Amino acid sequence: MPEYESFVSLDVWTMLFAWGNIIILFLFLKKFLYKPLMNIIETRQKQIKDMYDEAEKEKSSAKDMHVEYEEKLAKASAQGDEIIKNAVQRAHRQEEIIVKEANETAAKTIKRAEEQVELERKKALNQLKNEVSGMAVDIASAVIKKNLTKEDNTRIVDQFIGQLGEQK
Amino acid sequence: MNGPKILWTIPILGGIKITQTTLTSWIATGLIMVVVWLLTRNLSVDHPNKKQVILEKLVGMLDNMVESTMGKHNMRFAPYICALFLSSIFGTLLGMTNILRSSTADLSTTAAWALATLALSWFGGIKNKGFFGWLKSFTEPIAFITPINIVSEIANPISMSFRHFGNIAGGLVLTSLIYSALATLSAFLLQWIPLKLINTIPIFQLGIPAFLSIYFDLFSGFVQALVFTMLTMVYVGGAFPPKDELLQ
Repeated sequence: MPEYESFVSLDVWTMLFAWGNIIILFLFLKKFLYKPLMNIIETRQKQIKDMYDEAEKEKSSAKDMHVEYEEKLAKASAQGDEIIKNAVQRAHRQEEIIVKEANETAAKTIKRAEEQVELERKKALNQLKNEVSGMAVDIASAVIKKNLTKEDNTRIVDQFIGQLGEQK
Repeated sequence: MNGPKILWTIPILGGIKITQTTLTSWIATGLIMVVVWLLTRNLSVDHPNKKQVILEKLVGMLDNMVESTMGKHNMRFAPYICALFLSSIFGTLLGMTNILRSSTADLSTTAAWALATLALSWFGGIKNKGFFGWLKSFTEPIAFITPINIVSEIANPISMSFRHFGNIAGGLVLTSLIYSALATLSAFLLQWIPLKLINTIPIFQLGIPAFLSIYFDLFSGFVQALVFTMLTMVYVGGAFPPKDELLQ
């Protein structure tokens, strides 16, 4: 014959077991449910925070880099302008020098050419003089060789003199 | 109507009675532990699987409840509230197996829990106000209502434990009444069939009690678990006010 508690009853042992069970379950849940789960959630939150921090850092560094690059770009552009300006200036200077040199050279060349011409003229004149004197000697010898008549002689001399006059 | 059956009596300390209630309570506790152990395996920070997401959601819901009722400074009570809630739910629902008897259909269980709540709130009061400060708090706001305060203090655990016990035990009684009523109805309708084999089939007992059980055991079980834990949170939370309120 099984024994029963009465329907509404307080049994000390049942209550003690109920307390024991609830305390055991509380400790179990604290250790095996809450602790690991809270760890996970905290770790996740930390990870998310870290990610945000990192992203923020990356963002600011990217901004810094952007500014830096822009500065560099501006500098490079300015530098380029400078270089071009310098090059142009140098080219101008060089051009001037070249032109000056060319002018000088040309002037020198012209001068030299004139001198040469003068020299040639002088030379030619001297040669002519020599030739003329030679020719005079030739004529003279020719005249001498030939049996000159009086008229011939006169004619030749006249002719010669006339030639000289024509030449002057 | 009987109370819980006494299964064994361990013959020490004047006879330790192991009743159906205690057995159900053990099984419920063990079952919760196994379920929690299964659910908390392979927890992952960045790649939670489905069961982990659900677990986090459920624990988060309970945590929110504890936080909104007791405050952020009392979050250390969350595992106790969780243990209480799960013990109540599992203890009640195990009764639906019809093999075990609901542990909450025994006043001993609910009274033990209610006394634990009372002890926690007294502990909180004594810890925060000092023993005499706590005693003095019964005379507030005016000394005249001290007896009323004392009565209400004693009435709280009684009402809590009887409410929970009464609802579940009531469901139990109602279910067995319906079973016997339906058995009688079946026997009455089938008595004209001369075959002994057929007219003992309890046709009405199939299905109909299940629907009633959804209300009286399942729904009522959830509601009572919720009410009990809510009241516990309110009483214990009231005894552990936030630090900045203590200074005033």
